[in-house]
Amino acid sequence: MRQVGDGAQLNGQERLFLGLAEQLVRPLLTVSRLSELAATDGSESSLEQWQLVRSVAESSLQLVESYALSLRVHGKVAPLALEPVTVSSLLYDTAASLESFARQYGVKIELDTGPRLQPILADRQVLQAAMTSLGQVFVAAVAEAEERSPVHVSAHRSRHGVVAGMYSGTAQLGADSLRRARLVQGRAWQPLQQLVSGPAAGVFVADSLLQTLAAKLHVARYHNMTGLAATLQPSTQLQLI
Amino acid sequence: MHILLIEPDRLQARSYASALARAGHTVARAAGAQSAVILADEKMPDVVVLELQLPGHNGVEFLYEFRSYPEWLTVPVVLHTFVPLHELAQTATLQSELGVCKVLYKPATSLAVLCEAVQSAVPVTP
Amino acid sequence: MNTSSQLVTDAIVLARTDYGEADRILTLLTPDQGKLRLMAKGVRRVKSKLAGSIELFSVTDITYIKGRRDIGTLISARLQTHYGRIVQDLDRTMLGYDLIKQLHRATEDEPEPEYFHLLQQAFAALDDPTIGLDLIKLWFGAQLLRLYGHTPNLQTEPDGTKLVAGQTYEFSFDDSAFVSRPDGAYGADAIKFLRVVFSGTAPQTLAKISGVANLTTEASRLVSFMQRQYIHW
Repeated sequence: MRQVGDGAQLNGQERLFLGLAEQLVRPLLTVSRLSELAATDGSESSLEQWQLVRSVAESSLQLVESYALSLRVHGKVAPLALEPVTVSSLLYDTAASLESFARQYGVKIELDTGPRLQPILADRQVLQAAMTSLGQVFVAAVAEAEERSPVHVSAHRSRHGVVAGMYSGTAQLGADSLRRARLVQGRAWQPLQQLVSGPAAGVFVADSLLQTLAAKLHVARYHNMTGLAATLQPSTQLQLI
Repeated sequence: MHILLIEPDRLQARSYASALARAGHTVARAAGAQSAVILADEKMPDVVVLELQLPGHNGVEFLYEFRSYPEWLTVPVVLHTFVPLHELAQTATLQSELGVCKVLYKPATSLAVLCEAVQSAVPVTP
Repeated sequence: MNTSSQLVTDAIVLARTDYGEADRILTLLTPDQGKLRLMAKGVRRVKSKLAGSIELFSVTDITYIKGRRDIGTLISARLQTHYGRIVQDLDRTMLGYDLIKQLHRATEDEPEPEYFHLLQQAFAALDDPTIGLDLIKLWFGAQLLRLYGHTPNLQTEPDGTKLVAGQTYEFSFDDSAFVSRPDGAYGADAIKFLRVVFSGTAPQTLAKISGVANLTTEASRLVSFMQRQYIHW
């Protein structure tokens, strides 16, 4: 049992979902570790199969973990650990973590971060979970598209701050797409149909995580691509260090 | 090395034990704190791999009990747990007072990383 | 066995150490016989009748006989109250061990009954998931200070001027009292809260105070500093 102090703000349903998420982690972990073991045992084709099983299990595990994290932070069960974060290094790690999943789908990841981006103040784990959840949706989206273009994991400066997010040439997102998707999430089978089939849960998990950092997910354009990104505020204090 | 693996989930325990065995170690598996003490009594472990969420007595209770035996004061303990460590208010106590040499968050730890952590665990200075 | 030499009391386990292949030495806190060191024979064997009845975070009825030196022998034990919810939460477990350690170090061999009751109350508070850990830690620290005779002056400034609402204060550790300051960190609510904490009011009651989380944070700084100053371990 967790300590239920003054800070905990989860309602009954949220507590149920948190418990469910934490429960789902277990069988997914078992699948992943068993497949890791099995992959070292068999033939070439068996190896490929087990790597696929492992990759799928790990990505599901990661999504469930990210969801649980968002509940924990929103519900003040876990504190936000704010620290200076170099966005380019965080996106480098994000791209690395998406690599295996993307390879299984035949999708390329391209990392594209601008020079000398200012550090921002954020909870690194929360921000990385958000970017990875978003990245998985974009990989799935590109994999569904007839034309396979890379997924761009990107950060660049704008007049409002550092814009970090995922883009692809196949995304058909309009300025209003995300706003409408939020309204129908949980009620429509495919709230972000312009991007990907299915519930696109990774987008809403990322949305929820970014809210804890007071950074809103939004539709963004970058180099003739559309995507989803968050604008993060550089910390002026850090410029003095 | 001889590893005492304290893991309540039988299927997970199988994966971890197999991986550690493949890495050349012998492994004794316990599902809870009491059976872990009995196994440690039967054969002294070189490293303990411990999940904190155990049925009956939790992993912290096990650690305090384990460290109350002089012969086990220096055995390194690797935490391999579902508990997100930033949620534990007193992680420093685990490391400074209870001889935890490495903390691994299970969902993010591959079998290879687990084996590496066990391999690099060194006896604790009490 | 001569039962007239057997002694009976309630006990709380403070520490357990190894002794030989099968035995353990238990350090126990009692309400009427101070601290006892007793040999529990064969407890390391699972089949021992004592195994499982000497639980931590419990009050146990024990029967023992005095030994020739300072270690007696435990004859029997019956679990009276087990605060089982403590170990369902890792942070509560760790705080429980920490409070036991604090009390063990802060007391000598003949502690007054109040120390036993303090620890028992602490277990009851830890066992209640609605009471926050920071509050329990604060309350325990304050009671230890009180029992040690180090209750701060929460009524007047060092010169005897009564503390008033609307004024802010800083705490003077030299005088162990509040001194008025224009931008002092402590106001009326904080001081009233400290009065209630040091009065020995149970944590269950303190937990119901409005704004207890913030009040606890403010008070904790003061109490933990005082503990470091006055309770030498």
